[in-house]
Amino acid sequence: MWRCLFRAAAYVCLPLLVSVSAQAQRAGDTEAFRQAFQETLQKPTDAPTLLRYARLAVEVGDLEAAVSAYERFLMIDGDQPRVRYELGVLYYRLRSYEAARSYFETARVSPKAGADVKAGAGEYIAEIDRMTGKSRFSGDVLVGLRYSNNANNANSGALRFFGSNVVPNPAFSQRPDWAAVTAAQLHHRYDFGRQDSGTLETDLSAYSSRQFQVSEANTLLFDLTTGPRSQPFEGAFKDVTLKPFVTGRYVSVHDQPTYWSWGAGTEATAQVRDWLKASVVVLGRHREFIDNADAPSNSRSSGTDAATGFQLQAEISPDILVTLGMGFTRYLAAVPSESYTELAYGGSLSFRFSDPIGLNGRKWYLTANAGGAVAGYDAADPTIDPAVTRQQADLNLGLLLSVPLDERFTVVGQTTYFQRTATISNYAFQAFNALLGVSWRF
Amino acid sequence: MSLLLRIAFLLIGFTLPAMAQTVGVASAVSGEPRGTPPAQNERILRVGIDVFSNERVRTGANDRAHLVFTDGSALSVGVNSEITIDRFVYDPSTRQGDLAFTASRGAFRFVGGAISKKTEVKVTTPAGNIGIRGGIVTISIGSDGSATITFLYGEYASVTNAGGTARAIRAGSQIFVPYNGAPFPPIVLPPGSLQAYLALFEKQQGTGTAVSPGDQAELDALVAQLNNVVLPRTGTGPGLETWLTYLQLLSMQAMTITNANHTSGQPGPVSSPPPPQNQGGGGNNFNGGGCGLSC
Repeated sequence: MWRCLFRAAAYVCLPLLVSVSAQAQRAGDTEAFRQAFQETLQKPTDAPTLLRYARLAVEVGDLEAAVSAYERFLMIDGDQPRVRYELGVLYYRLRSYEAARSYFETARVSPKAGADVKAGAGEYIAEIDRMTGKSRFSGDVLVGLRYSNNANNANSGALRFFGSNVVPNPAFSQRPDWAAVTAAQLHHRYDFGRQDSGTLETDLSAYSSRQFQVSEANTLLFDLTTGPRSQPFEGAFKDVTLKPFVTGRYVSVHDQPTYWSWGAGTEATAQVRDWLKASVVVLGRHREFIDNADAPSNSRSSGTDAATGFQLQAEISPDILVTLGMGFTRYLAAVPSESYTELAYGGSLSFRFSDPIGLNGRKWYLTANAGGAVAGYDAADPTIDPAVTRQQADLNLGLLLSVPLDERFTVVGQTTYFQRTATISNYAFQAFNALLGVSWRF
Repeated sequence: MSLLLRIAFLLIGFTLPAMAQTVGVASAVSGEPRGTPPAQNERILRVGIDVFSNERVRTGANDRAHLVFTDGSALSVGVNSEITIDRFVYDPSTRQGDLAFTASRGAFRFVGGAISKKTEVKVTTPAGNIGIRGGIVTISIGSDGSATITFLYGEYASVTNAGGTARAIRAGSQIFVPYNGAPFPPIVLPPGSLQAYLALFEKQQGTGTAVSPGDQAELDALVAQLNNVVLPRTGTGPGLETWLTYLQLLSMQAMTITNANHTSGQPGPVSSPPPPQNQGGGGNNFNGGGCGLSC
């Protein structure tokens, strides 16, 4: 347990240190920014001074000051596509999307615009189109092949049964296999057109894994969440959004219904800084496990949970994104041996970098994620081991590389490693997976 | 006139301009915008000229001016416009102050500095009184005295007159205020409708005083340095990691139920994390990869 907690602390602290270091750098820049502003007052005709001021303004997060600086260039000559592009980026970061669109569109159509400006402006406009409009759909679909060295997630130790070790059924030992994987997410947004930015958000996710040989590991799931998001506050809390929602899920394993769930909750997000976003979710949900041929006593695990999650997302630089998160779940099942308390934690680090092989000049993404969870059950399960109460810890590591082919298609390579350790070996397993696929964004 | 009186007049003549408080500087101009400080003659606002509290700035058909105030606020003045800086008080140590204008005609863009982050900036127009907190706002005053306020960014822009108050808090909103009429409720501007307002403050080809070749060369050289072409976080990079990992873990945990049942006769738990959080939508693994039982 202590090892797990230490590991959790490490996951949380490392990216946090990166964030703190970046914050210290920003504090140093603030003084330089103020000095640069005084210089612009003394030397308003000195364009390098103005440029330096604008850059420092961006670095300290005073995007309005940068807007003001760049707009001066347009007063002297309106046909400056690079300045327009910069202004578009600034307004985009301020989430003033129509102003951003205006600057990107005029940058793109300027005869003086270079290819890079035209391409970049086009990408931004496409992104703004995705995020604005009265009623809009967007989504991603990924198809690929996945290899797993433990496709059925079988346990890696001895099996306990009524407190004794038993000989495992060979059919349920670890089996490597390939699978055809399809994952999709579909979003719909309906903008009410209100000043509080009220929008009905509906998200549907689907995932299917069809094994080549280990058919008992075929899985299918659907996840639907919908609710209105708004910014109900003014003043210091203006950037806080609230979203009450209802959610439902259906899962089948081995082509048999396994469980479904429904619930409701509320999510709050806050743009703490231009580069830092925080979000909190509280959720209550009922899970209905369904008895089936593979799991005839599934329904014993039905119950209700209360969960809360917290996440920080920090844009350390335009090309580095860090996320940190924690979650806490209390689950009350029909029997105490299936009730548990869980703490989950994790983080990810995403780098964006230039096309290293000159494929098409589009930036590649490399995302590393690490997470874990510790869980303790309320009581021992007498049918497994009446003397031992189950406790377990999960470790999940992942590395994902995405290589854009064009605006919509991306080649994706992913490797993951999952390890579960448990006080009862029945539940311990580990699996290494590798996936290669293509995603389509619309 | 006695010598003493002459000296007194001379002193007054020197002292009055000196007494007027410098509040900022003309930081960019196009054409020949004019400024009239209190108790002084009108002058052409050149880049670098100080502007004063209670100064009146006006522009002709080919003129534009960009003023920067000592708190970092900026005011763009479009063509055929007239505005007076009624009040400017700023304490750099506390970064607080007070700023008010009277806009009589024309088009203006205000970009908030330190003052507007803590105090409402006030703009008096023929149609009503505008309040701005934080942010970026354009104001255009029609020939009939009506006003159009476009809220681009910030905490809010409000308009109040005898007919009532309207308040915009959503970026890209606009309030129309007829002369002698109540302000209309703010509307969210449709795509593509902002360009006309932003262009009011930009030098268009064929108007105004041409930029000298030397200035243009310098401008081009500087602008060339600008473009680091920051791209949006589009594509399926970090977003893909989030929802794909989430779905994979959900799937994996679901399978452990069946495994547990096969091996022990007991189902394993399958729980779920809080659902998607990011506004971009989709399954968002809220804990960044640590899904545990709660998948």
